[in-house]
Amino acid sequence: MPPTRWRDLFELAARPFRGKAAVDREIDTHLELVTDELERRGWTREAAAAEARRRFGDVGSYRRVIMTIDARQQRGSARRQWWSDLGQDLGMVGRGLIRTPLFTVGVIVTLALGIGVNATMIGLVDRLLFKPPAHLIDPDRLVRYTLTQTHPTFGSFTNASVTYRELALQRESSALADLAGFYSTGLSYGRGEAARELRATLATANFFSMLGVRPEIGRFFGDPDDPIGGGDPTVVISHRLWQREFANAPDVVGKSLWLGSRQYQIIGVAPKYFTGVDLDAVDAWLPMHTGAREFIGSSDEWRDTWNWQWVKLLGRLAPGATRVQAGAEATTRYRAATADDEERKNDRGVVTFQPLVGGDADQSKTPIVVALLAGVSVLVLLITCANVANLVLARGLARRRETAVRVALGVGRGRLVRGLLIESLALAAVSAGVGLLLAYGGGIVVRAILLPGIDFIEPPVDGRLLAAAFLASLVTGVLVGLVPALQLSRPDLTEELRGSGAGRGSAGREHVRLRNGLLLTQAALSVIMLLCAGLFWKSLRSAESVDFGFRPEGLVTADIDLAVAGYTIEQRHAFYDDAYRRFQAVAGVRGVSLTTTNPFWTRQGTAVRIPGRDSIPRLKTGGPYFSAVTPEYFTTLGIAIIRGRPFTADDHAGGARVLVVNETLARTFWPGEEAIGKCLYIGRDADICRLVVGVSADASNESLERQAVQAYYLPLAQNDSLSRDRYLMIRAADDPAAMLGTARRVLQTMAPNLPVASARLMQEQIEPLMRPWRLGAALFGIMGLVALTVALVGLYSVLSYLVAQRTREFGIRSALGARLGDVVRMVVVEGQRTIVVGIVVGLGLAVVGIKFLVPPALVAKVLYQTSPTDPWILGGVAVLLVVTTLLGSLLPAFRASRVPPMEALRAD
Amino acid sequence: MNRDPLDLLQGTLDILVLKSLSWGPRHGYAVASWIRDTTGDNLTIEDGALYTALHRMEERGWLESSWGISENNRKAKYYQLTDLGRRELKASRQRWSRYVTAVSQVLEARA
Repeated sequence: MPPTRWRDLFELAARPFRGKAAVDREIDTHLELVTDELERRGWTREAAAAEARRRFGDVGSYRRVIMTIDARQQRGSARRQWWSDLGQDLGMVGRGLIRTPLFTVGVIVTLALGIGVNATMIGLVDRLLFKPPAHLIDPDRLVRYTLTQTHPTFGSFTNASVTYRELALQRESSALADLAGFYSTGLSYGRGEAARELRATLATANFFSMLGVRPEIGRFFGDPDDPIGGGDPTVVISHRLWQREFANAPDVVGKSLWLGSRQYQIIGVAPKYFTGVDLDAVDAWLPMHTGAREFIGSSDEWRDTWNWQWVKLLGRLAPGATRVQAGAEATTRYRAATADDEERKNDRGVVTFQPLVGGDADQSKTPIVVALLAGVSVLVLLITCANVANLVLARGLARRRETAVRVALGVGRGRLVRGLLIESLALAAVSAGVGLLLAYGGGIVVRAILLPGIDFIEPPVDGRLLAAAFLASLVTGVLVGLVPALQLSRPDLTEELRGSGAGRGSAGREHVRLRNGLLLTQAALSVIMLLCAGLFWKSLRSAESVDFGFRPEGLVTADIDLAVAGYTIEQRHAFYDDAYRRFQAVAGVRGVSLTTTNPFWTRQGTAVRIPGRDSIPRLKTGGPYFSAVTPEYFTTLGIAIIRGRPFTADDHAGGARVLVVNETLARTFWPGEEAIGKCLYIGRDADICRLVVGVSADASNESLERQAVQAYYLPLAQNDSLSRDRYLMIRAADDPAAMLGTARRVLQTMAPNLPVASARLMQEQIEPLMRPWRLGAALFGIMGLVALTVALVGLYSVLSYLVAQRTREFGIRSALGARLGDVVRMVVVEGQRTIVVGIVVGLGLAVVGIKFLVPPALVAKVLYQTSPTDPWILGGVAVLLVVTTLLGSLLPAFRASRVPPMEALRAD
Repeated sequence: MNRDPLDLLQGTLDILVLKSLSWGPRHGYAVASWIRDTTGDNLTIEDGALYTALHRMEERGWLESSWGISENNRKAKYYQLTDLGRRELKASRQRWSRYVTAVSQVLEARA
């Protein structure tokens, strides 16, 4: 062992050994000491050494045991060290954040806005697009039935509402374990004045068992409750109705409710939040065969007809079966069953099964808008990240010297980076909390104002959202902390310690470049956001100012369901004729008319023949549609008569048969000719050719898109049993909302024992069509505002930092006689340079993105009569951003201009 | 020296080590010598077992160690009691006395 001893001579005695070396040394020393001792007692060296080893025991195995103990201890103490460091770091971060409240609050507000907006969006998207309805067992195996029919002239239509025949037909399918049908609609509840409308669902007896839902109390209906032809009237009520009308009384089972035409006995209460498979709230479930008469009357024609598409089908896949298999089998069955049907045999029907949520059985635009918003909310989060990174960076720069000192004192880079990450994660966590509060409030507001038709069953913030927000804050924290952490953990020590590096060295310039980059990103993203807001706003404006061909504002439509009360058709018509006369005398009514169809609600068509021709020219938009109306119809609705005349009192039942056609019909039936004076056969067995006496302007009946639709009008007196339906159209002289009450009251007084009369504003009927744009404009507007605010804070912080960095320079400048305006201009120009570049980049990206990345069909679907590159909106956004950021840069600029020369020269 | 050496009772070694360190820091060899001298060679303890005990007690926080120079100029690891170790010694001493008392009472009991 001489080499060891040699080395010992030159080493400090107290130098610690580690690991194996330490154990070896300890044991060696021991053995040597024992050997020396024995030698002193007269042993030979060799014998002494052997004895020492004997006394020690098995050296090799003891060494291993000792080393294991040491290693264990080492790990334990490393862990303790790590935790104690962490504690220190946390303390330091906490103290640091409290010392700079402005920074802390700025970051938390910014991040909370970002996370809050995202959480709100994620909540909506989750609810609307992803989350299966509550209380269902194995919802992934549940599928919606849709039928796509292809018409030789009109193209293909996909429909989720189908005939009851298809339910009976497809029930036996081997790919389906079960198939249920349901139909949701409004139903009157109570009698007379107290009558109200609630939402009811007619469901087949297997509906509840197939979904797997269990009743809150009582039971659900099953096969014995719903024989074909109807059984005893029973109803399952919603938890909500139970709460509202029965104060959660447990003895509600057995009580009865007036629904439609009769009393239904309550047999059970559905669990809280159960709405079936759709989003809309439902208050009552009726067995299909029993409840059908409330909607359809006593006829049971609905069971066998191919002409009545109303019921929605819901299947549960058989074990092992796929949606594709089920669809293929159902298609085969459908085609076999329709082979003999005159109307359907050539429709090339294809059955597909869609997933419960996220499928395209729902044709509404709202999901597109919501998905788009979700994408954009990620942009908001990016903007806030960029901004917060900027703030953190600015703060880090302000603390550069402190950091340099710590590095010089031997604090590891890993530890520095960890400190910064802790700081950003802590900030992100607090912000996530505040953000969730925002999301909670925001969610309530958004739901109430923007999506009033959807009954959200859960609170706006739930477990999934918490998880999502946690994840978002984690990602944000890391993103926000990482860049500055990497930048700051390699400071130029000598430069910093000398105290002269303040932003003028190469490192400083690099930081400025990074910060400007972040600012530029923010500006660009804000532009995109504001652009979206602008486009949706314009779409909304266009949609609102659509010329429907009639004036919906101030128009009230009313009807009352007389069929359920057992009125014959003649009695029904007499009732409406009476109502029509009464309303003419009601104060506040400027005009009233009866019609057989209700715009944006119903429409009707029948066979039309042009004398001397085999067929009529058809348009893709369907039709021709007809309405039988009283003479004032055109003036009441505000539909212009372009040529000829409207109907008059002379067009009575005994008069010559006449009609008014709309422009499109006139143009397509008799191109280049005058329609007035021509005649048409209306109805399958018509033997009278009706004379065209007028041409009206086109009036929309279904969609906002101005489509050319063929339509014609008949005098109601000459309806000749073409249509049984009746609606009252009332134009209010001043307050249409008050007219709603009046209309209901008048109808209810006429029929005191009848179910509820319904009266709606025409604009309510149109409103759902506006909703996507209203939603888009409002939410993009909010997000644009958030983005703008955040960009403003970002710019402010960057400029404030720049000003602080260049205090000395500004001081010297003013000492040398620079005027206040010069300094202000310098700072403002500095900020605007970046902003303007950001605006240009953002606009460029947006225009290129819309032009080349987004399919034009989607643009057309999302924006209403608005070009995505509308120059006014592009320009407006740019101006808005420039103006706001100009204002944001004024404060730092003025601060710069007020630096007293002496202080500036003393700084640093 | 013709008596059979006693086997060490479980846990007793710890008490011996703690006691040996109660007069101040020592290295392992000194601890071993002190125990051998004090017990008059009545206990056979392998030195390896002693060192194992020292390291285990250090891990428990009863002892702390530092490197120093031994009498004959070798680098040795010195152990000393921590506060925790001192408390443990006190507790062990009481446990041991109770144990001895109890066993003695049994052995001296008359039927």
